[in-house]
Formats: sequence, C-alpha cells, structure tokens
Amino acid sequence: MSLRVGLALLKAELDKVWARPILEITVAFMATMAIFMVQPFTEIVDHSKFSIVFQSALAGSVSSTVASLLLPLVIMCGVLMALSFARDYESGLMLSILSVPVSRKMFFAVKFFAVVLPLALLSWILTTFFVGLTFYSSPWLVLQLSFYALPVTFLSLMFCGGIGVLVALLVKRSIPAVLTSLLANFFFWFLTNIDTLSSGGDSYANYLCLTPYKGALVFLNKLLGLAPKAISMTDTLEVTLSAGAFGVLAVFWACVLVVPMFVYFCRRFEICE
Amino acid sequence: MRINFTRLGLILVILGAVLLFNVWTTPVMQYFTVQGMPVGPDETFAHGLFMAPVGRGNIVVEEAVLMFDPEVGDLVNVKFAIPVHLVVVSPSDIVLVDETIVTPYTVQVNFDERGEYVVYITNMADESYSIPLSLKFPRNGDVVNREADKFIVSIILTASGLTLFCLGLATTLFVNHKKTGAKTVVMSVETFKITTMS
Amino acid sequence: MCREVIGEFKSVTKRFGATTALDELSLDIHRGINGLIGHNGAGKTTAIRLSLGLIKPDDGCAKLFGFDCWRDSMSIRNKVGVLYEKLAFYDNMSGLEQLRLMAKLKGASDSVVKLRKLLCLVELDEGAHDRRVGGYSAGMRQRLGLAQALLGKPELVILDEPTANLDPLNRTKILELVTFLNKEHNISFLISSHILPELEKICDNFILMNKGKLLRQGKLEQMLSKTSLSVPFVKFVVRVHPVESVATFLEGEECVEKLSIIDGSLHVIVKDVLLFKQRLPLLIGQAKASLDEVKMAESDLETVFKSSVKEV
Repeated sequence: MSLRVGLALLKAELDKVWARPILEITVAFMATMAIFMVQPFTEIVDHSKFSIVFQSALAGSVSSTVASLLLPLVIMCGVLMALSFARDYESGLMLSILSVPVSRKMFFAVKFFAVVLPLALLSWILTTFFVGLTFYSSPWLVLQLSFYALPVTFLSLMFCGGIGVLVALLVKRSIPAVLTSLLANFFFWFLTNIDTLSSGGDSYANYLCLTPYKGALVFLNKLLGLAPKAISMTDTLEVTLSAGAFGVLAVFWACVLVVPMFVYFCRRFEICE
Repeated sequence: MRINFTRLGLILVILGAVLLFNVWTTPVMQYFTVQGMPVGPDETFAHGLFMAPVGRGNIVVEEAVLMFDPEVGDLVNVKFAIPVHLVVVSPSDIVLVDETIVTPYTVQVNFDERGEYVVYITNMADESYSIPLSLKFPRNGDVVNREADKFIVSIILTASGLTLFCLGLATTLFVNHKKTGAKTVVMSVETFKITTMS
Repeated sequence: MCREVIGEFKSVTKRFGATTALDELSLDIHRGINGLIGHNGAGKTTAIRLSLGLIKPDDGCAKLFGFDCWRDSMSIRNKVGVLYEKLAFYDNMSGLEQLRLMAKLKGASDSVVKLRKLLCLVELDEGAHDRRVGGYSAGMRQRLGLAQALLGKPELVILDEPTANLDPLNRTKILELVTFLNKEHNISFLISSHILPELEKICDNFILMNKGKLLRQGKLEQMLSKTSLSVPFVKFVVRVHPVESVATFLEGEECVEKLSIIDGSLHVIVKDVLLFKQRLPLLIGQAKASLDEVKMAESDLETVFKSSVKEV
C-alpha cells in the first residue's frame, strides 16, 4: 500500500517538476557543458604503454566531463529543489497532500528524489555517451569508468538539494528561495575552480579539497586512479588523503543538510500558509 | 515525467545539434610530433597512434637524430637520412603501409577507423638513432579533418529526433482534430433533433 | 438528542510569534453538520489545520475520533476529508487524473467509472473531466476539491468556505448535497463559512469563535435563548394593516431605535429584541391592526454572532 502510494506520488511529482520545457533545457545545458570538454583525442605513445595511456585518457575524460557537468547540475538542482518545496508550500499543494494519509517522510523523500535521481541519471548517461563517443573502441572500460560518475554526482546532488530544501523551508517563498539557493550553490561550485595544488601545503587552498563539490571531484579522481598533479614539494591533503577518506567526506556532505532537514520536516515543520 | 514522441524527438534534436556543432567547430589538430626513444640497428620501435576517423592524414618519419656519438664520446644532435622499414597497421589489423624508406619520409594514410594505429619503425642503419614521428593534417582550402563517426552520430540523432518530433506533432494534431470533429458531429445531430421537433 | 462527540479541543493554545491564534480553545465537534463561524482571524483555519496535524498546539490537547491530532494525525487523515479555501492541484493533470491520484493516496478505489460518477455528483461537467486542471475556472476547482474531500467515504468532511466561488444556484446544490450525504451516508461535516444564512439552514450544531476563543457552542435555539438582552440594533420588517397606526404606537417605545415605512411595511431598528417581541403583540392589539408577517431582516444566527462578539 505505501509503495503504491509512494509510486503514485513520485509519478505526479516527476510530471510536475520535469514538465516541458524543464527537461529539454536541462538536457541542452548539460550537453553543451559536457561536449565542449571533450576534445578530439589524438595521441602518439609507445605502443607498449598504449593501454595505460588510453585508460588514463579515458579516466581523464570522465573526470573533466563530470567536472564540467557540475555547474548545470548545481544550478538545476538548486533551482528545482527550492522551487518544488517553496512553491508547493505557497500554493497550498503541500497542505492538500499532507491532509491525506501520506506520511511526511514519504512526502519529503518523494519530492527530494524526484529532483535528484533524474539529474544523477541524466549526468551519468550523458557522461557515458559523450566519453563513449571518443573511446567506444573499449566499451566495457567506458562503462566501468563512467559508472563512478553516478555515485559521485548523486552525492553532490544530495548536498545541493539539501541547500535547496533548507532555504525553501526557511524562506517559504518561491522566488527568494530560488535566488538564495542559487547563490549558495554557486558559491560552493565556485570553490571547485580554485586550483588547490597551485600553492604550497600550508596555504588555505590546501583545505578547499574538503569543500563539498571539490571533495566529490577529488573522490572521483581517486576512484578513477588519476594521480593529482603535485606541483608543490609539500604534500597536500588532496595527495595524502585516501579515496576512502574522500568518500566518507562526500557522504558526510551529502547527509549534513538533508538529514536534519528531513527530521525537521517530519517532526516540527508547521504548515501555516 | 511524461515523455512522448514530441519530447523525445526534441531531446534527440538537441543532443544531435550540440554534437554536430562541437564536431564542426573542433577539427583535429593540424600537427603533432613525438621524439621517440633511441632505436638500435635492426631494432624495431612501435608507436601507438590513437586516432579518430578523420580522413586522410600524413604520417611523417622525420630525420633520424644521432643523440650520442661514440667516436666523439659526447652528446651530439645531428640529423641523418637513414633507411628504415615502415609498417603501419590499422586498428582492425590491416597493413596499410609496408615500405622501406629513407628518412625523412611522408606517407599518406586514410584514417577511417577509430582506435590504435601501430607504426613499426625498424632501424636499418648501423648506428642507434632517435627517429621522431609526426602526424600532419595540412589545411588545403576547405578540407578540414573532422571526426567522421561523431559527425554521423550527430546526423542520425538530429534526423531521428526531427522525425519523432514531426510524428508526435502530427499524432497530437490528428487526435485533437478527431476530438473536435466528433463534437461538431454530435452538436449537428442535436441541432437537427431540436429543429425537427420544433 | 445529544449527538456523539467525534472531536474535542481542550484548552488548546497556539501562538505564532506574538500573535495568539488560539487562546485556550475548548470545543466539541458532534456527529452531524457542524458550522464553524467567526470573523477573519478568529482562528478557524488554525483550528482546522491543528485538527489534521499540520500544526502542533503549544498547549492543550486536540483529538478527533479519539486520536491525538498531532501524534496520530495519519489515523485521523484516514477518516477525514478536507476542502480548503485555498485550492491547489497538480495543474498539469486532468481533473480525473488528479482525483485518481488522490484516491490512490487515500487508499480508496481509483476506478475511473466510480470517479467519474463522483465528479458528476459534484456537478463537474463531463467535458471537463479530461481537461487540465490548470484551465479550470474557480468554480470548477471548487467542485473538484469537494470531490477530492469526499473520496474514500470519510467519516468527517471539513469544508472551509465551500460555496465561496459558486453562483447562488450551485451554492444551493452543494448545500443540498451536504445534507444528503449526512442523512444517507452518515458523513459528518464541519463547515467554516461567512455566509451565515446558508449555515443556519443545514447545520445541527454551531461553533462560534472570536480572537482564538470559543464564544458559544450548541444548537441555534440554545444559543438564541442565551443571547444577551442588550442586542443592539436588530432590524425587523413588520407587515401590518394599517401600518401608520402601529408606527405611531411603536415610535414611543424605548426598545425601538428607529422606525420607517418602506413599501407599505414597517422597518424597525430594535435595541432590545426580547422587549420588542413582548411589546409588539400588545401594541398591535391597541392599534386594532392585523399582523401579516414579522421577520428579522438578518438571520437569527447573524444576530447571535453579532451579539456574542459584542459581549466580548
């Protein structure tokens, strides 16, 4: 019964959130950002080392594609999540749905994953597609390496969505919530563009790899086996910390906002609109 | 999310258009080279070329370079023309070139597959030389080397997307027309009945 | 006959910042049709939302069907249907799809045939069933909301301004439907409305609120008998013959504030209703006139409401 309810609600939410032209705009935005990171791959190497270079190039492509997809993901997730919660609160739809026997847990989960899951899947599909176009001579390797994009983007989107929900439930107005969510997410995205390896290990930039999106990208690089370019003689955190550590960090960031917001919504949030 | 033919077609058109634009605006690099390790007499060095199907290009075996002269006992950097045996094998193991040449030498190869093209260079001289290898795609007028497979994929995506989009649009229009037509027929019958009764 | 109490509020208080929306509110909701009356800002909507577990009370206890409104709200929502004043739907869905979705969420039958019948019951045009809700008029949205509230045969239906967007003919139909559902299907109603004459016709029990407090509760007759004698300025229309002689006698009465003759009827602004009701027959007898009709220009319920608010 609750599965049936959940699926019915999920379908309705997906139809509402991804109505025309949102999906089309998202695909266009993500495709544009992804494709222009993929240059024609032409390489002359020692034949005996070719497979290593090939794998490295493939991994590098996956990494750069995911990094380029981060901006559209962050924008779309932040906007759609904030809009989804705030608009439903403002319009009274939240009131209507929570007046029928639908638990708050299910309501929150459905609304949250109706935004996050399609974006994660879309980014994974586009990454596989665009990387696969260049490296389809080894399709299994493409699938294997591009698979890492899915959990990394999912965890990043969890954090992004968490910001959207936090802002929406506090502000409770559509446009201010969207703008605030956009600003907050853009700030965290901007940190990913600061080169954390250009300064020495003592510099503040060393710790930027611990920020949400940057940490997720470093986690992806570690999963793909890409060695960071260590310019400085002093080992940076990005170099010294293991993939597992960055994985834990990514999970931490994914949960740090979502879990408290979930608990708040289920236990204390009042619908007074 | 409701995805019908129209929406699916539109998404495919978007993907195809973006890919087409990318392929059109990012042709393959015109020139790149690699120095290569020293190759001893009668030794063979194999280079792996990862290439996209970009059409005709030139593989250039540059002048051999003598890095170290044992008679002088020091590093030198002198270029020589030496005989080498050149074999180029395509990703599908087809031998494209199998010649004995004298450096420098340019051979035209048709890159029509994506994958690793292996270039075997056998040093037929008496000394150990470093034999650089280059790839050149000269621009001749309007001829620009682009990735043919991506181009084809983009055309297929765009064409299929347009087809689906038009199909979806036609279906929607037809269904709407049918509904409006049925209403008109019903109303006409009702009007007829009223007219007859009065 | 004392009807079963299905809901009760005991000293419920709810504050929003500096504003006290409900101030130690204690009321009972009985089986039957209950009317919830109050000014804007009286706390009616807050009380409704509190009863569904959408708002947590700061103090006191609210229960419906024996379940605590905040802790056991899921159990309550299984038995209650709601029509809010502010209607919201998935606008990209058709009316039928919306209803099917809500039926699934309520665990009710989502059979298309039954749902179409329900939509016809609330007078939603058949042609509109498959149209997008985004294109509905206000009245159509109201009817769809009512159909939604009736899904799953709830024991109690809460209606917040159910006739607000309807024309007079459809208002009557909705009220008739409410009465029918109560009688035939034993569905209880809690109706919040400003249109007091409508409530007066159908409700068994009335709950009057003001500034978050309960003013009065009970049947109309009970409340009328308790109404203060100093009811200010109630208007009566008296049809008598000859009207002028009765007017002369009434002019000097201390319970009469103002008197006028309009279209052959006496329009009397009365200060003291009880005294007026006692004196009028005597004065008509003294004037040797014949009485055709006496009626209040406003309803009894409006009188009770106004007097109750004034007393506070």
